[in-house]
Amino acid sequence: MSVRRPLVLMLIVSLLTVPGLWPVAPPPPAGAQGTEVWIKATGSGARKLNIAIPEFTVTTVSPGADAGTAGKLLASVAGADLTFSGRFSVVAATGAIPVNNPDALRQSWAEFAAAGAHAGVHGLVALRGDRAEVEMRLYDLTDPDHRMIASKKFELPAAQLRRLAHKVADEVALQFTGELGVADTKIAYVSGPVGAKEIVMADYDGAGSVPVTRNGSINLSPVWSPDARSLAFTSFRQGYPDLYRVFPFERRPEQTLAAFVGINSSPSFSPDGKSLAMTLSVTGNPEIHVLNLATGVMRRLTRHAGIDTEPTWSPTGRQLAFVSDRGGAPHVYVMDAEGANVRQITSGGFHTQPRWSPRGDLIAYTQRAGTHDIWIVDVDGSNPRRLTSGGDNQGASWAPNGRHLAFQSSRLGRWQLFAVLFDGSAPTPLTRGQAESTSPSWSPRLP
Amino acid sequence: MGAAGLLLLTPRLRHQRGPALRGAPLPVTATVLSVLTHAVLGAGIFFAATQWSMRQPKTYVVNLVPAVAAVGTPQERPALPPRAEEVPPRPAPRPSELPERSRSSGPSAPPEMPARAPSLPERALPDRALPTRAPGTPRASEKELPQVASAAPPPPAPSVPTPSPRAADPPPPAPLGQRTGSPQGAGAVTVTTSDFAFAWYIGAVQRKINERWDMWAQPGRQPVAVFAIGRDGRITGLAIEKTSGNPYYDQKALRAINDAVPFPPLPAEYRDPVLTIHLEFNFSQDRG
Repeated sequence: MSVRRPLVLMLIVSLLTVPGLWPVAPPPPAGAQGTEVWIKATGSGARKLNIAIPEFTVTTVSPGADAGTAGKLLASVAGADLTFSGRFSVVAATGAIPVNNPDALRQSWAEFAAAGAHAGVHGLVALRGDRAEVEMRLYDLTDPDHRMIASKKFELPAAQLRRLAHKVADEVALQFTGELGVADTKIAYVSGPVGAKEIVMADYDGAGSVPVTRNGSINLSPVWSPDARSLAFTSFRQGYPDLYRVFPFERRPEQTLAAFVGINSSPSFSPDGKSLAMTLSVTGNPEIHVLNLATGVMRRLTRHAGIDTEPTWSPTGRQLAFVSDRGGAPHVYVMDAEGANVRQITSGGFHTQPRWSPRGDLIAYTQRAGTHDIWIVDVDGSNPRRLTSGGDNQGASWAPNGRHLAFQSSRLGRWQLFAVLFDGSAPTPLTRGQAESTSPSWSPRLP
Repeated sequence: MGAAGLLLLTPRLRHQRGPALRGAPLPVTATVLSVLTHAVLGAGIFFAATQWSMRQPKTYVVNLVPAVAAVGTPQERPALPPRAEEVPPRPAPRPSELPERSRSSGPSAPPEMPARAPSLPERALPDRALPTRAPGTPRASEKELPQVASAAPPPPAPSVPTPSPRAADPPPPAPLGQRTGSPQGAGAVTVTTSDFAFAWYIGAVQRKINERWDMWAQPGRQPVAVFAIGRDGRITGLAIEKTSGNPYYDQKALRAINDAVPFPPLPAEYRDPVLTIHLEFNFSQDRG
């Protein structure tokens, strides 16, 4: 006994020192689990996914509903959204796939696959009274069995068919990119001739514009709150440039945010929606202030004899970029949210209208050199590059995914809104109206 | 095995103190040393075996070759062979008002790829010895896809005789007629050797990285990065597995992956918590 006990003890101890024999195994090293796949990145491979979107199949129609165009409209809007994203090439088609007919479905997908489609969207729409329900089924056409990748249903009032299509497109983008698309967003902008400028909003693609303000005065620089429920803007309706807030989707009265002596302009919501940065000249020359929207406390951030204006928050809320002419010509500067640590980002030139990307990695701004153009720069001030050319281009606003920018351009004559990808490719007109459209603000994704 | 050894050892110990050895001095030191050495050795072998087997299973090599069909934006209705019986409302893709838009705003991919397609097969394998697959591994036979490397569109293939299980569901298993082509030829990726059944997913990952990959000058060697994609599409364990020999290019490769994050959520039918990707970056001299 006197010998065996220490022996057994020592055995146990020695065994316990061997890793892997613990009752609870230590977590396996990363990569030891799951399937392993070897692939190559070549940079020149196909960057777009060819996706087939036949007309949506109308499954249920209540009397009086217009079924004839619904399937067509849904397919064409969703297809345009995916084309706009820059990540898909749409293989369009007429005719819908009949419902509950696996053979017809298989036949269609085989034809689309032969035409080069990598994926297919089968949309089903049911119109029940004033409600519309859309089901999206996403298929992998590179698979011989046309395996279904995902399916999802959306329901909205029947009057919002376009928005249903936007939601389908955003879901398709999510499945193939890991990020929701930005089709289900709005753009607010200023519309109208000189002397009467009203704020309107439309789908991101310019469709379905509705008025937001109707005061007959001059209303400028709308900007969305992070919850996409309200817009802050500058209005001259009291005769001076004051700041207001309006709730375009709700029956809620307009709020006056700042009406100090002098200029009240350039609103910018903090990412948490609790504060609003703005330019006030109440202290003598334009300085940047931050208004706490809950308490109404105003805090001054800049103190300089030069002009400081056009603040824009970083997505973390810990920094702001702004324009200052303290170095002579206006340039973009960055400071902490407390106003400290001011540092210059751009130099050499005439730079205004900074907009911090929602991804946080870039700042867009407008450079004046004869005409204006949209530029972007890394947040450390390196690598500035021009995104636009042709006509005059100003007033960029980022899409919530940080991939697209909307801006106003005179390239086709009167001011209209355009969008461009962050690498300067795929400039696309958004508005084509008779009135001038300026000063876009791209909303966050709608709730 | 280690625990079993311990169990086997214990009765023998008891036996040593039995009648045969009565009176003889017990060689305590030697016994302890022997037992310990054996235990540690056995445990070591056990540990090595488990670690090795954890790493080994499910190592699949996917060779991604941009197929020719993926190059251009299809703009016209494909020439379809006459079909015997007509499906009532034909969903035939006829050029409508839509292609106009997709053609104008969606420029098709540059057609420089066909030249590269044939060059890939051997080099896609990183220089590591791949274990031969255990013959017992269950493999879905229909995943054995035919090679698609030809520039011509796939012929009306008799190569797709796989009667899908769904075909048997409706009462009359109507003959499908001629399929217009082998669907896998239309993919952005061609899977030459794979049991990973989600080629579309790999294609999506590759597209997102290509989007952020500007293929600067030639460093001589290709870095290989490794990372694991979680169920939500986020990545962990990003690292350089094989350096290019130049830290700058290694960093560019890592940055391309970081910029491409997040990736799509893992396919619902894929059960494992992560998918590990070994990604070789090819630098090109074309630009930069």
